[in-house]
Amino acid sequence: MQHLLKILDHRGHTELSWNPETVDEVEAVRERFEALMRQNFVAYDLSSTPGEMIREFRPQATEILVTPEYVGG
Amino acid sequence: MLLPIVRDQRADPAIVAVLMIGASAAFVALTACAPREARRAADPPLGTFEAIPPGEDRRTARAAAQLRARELLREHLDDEQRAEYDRRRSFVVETPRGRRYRIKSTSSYNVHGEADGIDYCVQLRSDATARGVPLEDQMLAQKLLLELDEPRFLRIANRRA
Repeated sequence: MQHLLKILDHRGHTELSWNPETVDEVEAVRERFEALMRQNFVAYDLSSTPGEMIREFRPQATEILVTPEYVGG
Repeated sequence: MLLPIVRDQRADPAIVAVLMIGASAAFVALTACAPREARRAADPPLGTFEAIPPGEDRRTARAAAQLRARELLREHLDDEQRAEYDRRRSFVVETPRGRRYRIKSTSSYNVHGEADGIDYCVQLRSDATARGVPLEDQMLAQKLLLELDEPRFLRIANRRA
């Protein structure tokens, strides 16, 4: 089963994958996730429908989607 | 070129007048541009999008990004939404509170409340950390926010009746 972090960006999105059993991989993705949270990005765990807004990294999630902060246009 | 004509007492006053007006206009234009240049210099550091080379490469990168964003959006639509999006480039989202919004393929005020008739504008921040996110990604982000935190969407949104 794939575990993907998708970050919306100018490329469409950037994907990072990890194996939840591999500590180094989990920590690398967690670090990236937390850096984005510090920059006020918004994260959704979309492992199941309808999904959930999250603030903490979830190693068991199969799909986490991160968007830049929302602003009124 | 101006100087000899001005020195020459026989110079046509009309030509001198035209040259003086031209010089004044150029001075005003340069003065007006100066603040804009200053603003550019004060901009935050450019994001990674700006590292894409100009010209054809940038257009190709943008087209690839748009295609990738469109596929990601389609992946997260249900069958009915996907069919409508393919047909009309817009789709309807129903929130947990039962409200329906149509998300359209335009960059601003593209979320239409079907019940209240209001156009809402919620966009993704564009700065050095996030720049040039394709429209289809914005549509996906709007869909997720409406479905999972409608009150936050309404708190952020600008409105146009």
